[in-house]
Amino acid sequence: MRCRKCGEKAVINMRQHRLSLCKQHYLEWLPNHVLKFIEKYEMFLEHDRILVAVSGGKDSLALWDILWKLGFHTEGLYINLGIDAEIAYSNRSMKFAKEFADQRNLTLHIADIKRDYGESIPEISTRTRRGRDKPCSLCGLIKRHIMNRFALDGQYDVLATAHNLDDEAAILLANTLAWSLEFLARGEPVLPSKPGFLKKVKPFIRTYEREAAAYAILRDIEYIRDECPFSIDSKQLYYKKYLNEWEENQPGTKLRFYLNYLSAIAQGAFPVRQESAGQLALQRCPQCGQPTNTGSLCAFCKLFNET
Amino acid sequence: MKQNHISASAHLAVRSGELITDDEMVKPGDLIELIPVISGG
Repeated sequence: MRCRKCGEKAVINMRQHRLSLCKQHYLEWLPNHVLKFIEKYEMFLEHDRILVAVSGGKDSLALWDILWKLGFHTEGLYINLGIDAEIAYSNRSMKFAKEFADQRNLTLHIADIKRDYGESIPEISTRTRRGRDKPCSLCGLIKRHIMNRFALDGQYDVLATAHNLDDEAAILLANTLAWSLEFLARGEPVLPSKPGFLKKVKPFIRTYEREAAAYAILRDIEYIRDECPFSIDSKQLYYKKYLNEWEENQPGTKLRFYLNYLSAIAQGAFPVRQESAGQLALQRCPQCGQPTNTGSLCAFCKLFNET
Repeated sequence: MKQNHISASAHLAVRSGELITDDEMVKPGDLIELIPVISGG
């Protein structure tokens, strides 16, 4: 297979785009592809301060590398969740994130939940009712809380996460199968800021997971290849497996699924339950000060108060 | 990959440190690393 731009040997074939590219042209193409959608969805501007959520995996390091190459003002945030099992998962992920930042002279901030809150994810999972059944939901809750708090305290303009098209298609499939209308209303590439919440963006929203991995490999980015021990048998992996089977039979299935969903949102298919700015300003967690729907302790603080 | 029921959407193939496309001819003795690209985090 040959590169469509120069005729050299291709290193990647993207059937959904009917495009095969050599190393040089792929490394030019992906950053421009990402930039196109940063602009299309008005994610951020040239002068904005961007906090990139970094896990040490291929997606977040590839995203940070692309934003850095494009000249955006970025800093990274790594959250050490204390997940070690037998593979020192969190500490090894953190090492990859640190090495990446050091090599590029970028600033990486590190939050450590064991150090800052006294317990690791496995410890909280064992202690709390919520964590026992669903450690992944616990992890999501904790990461969202810390990222939002850190981003607001640091007065960044925007928080960027490396959710890719496969992530979004899998979440969309899960929410569609469950008809979770509330969650179906929230799957857009940009979540605007509101009182107590920073603007959140997903610059990889039109990037396949395979494309992000290829970029990381071609750029010699070292990343953690092990799966989080808690994600084995996760529902997201289950849905991704089926989406990939459909994709192989009909290239572009995942992209069409997500883009048609965005069109449905734009047509008002999923009304958003919108708290007013006034409500959000008033309903603050008495412990941490972050917004909550209830006016009492937020879900994050409840976790640490549950015995 | 198809013959071995390995999803080409979920893996990248590397030979001698270089990414190869799924139509690449593989010779006896070639060492191919299949790198999973799907994560569930």
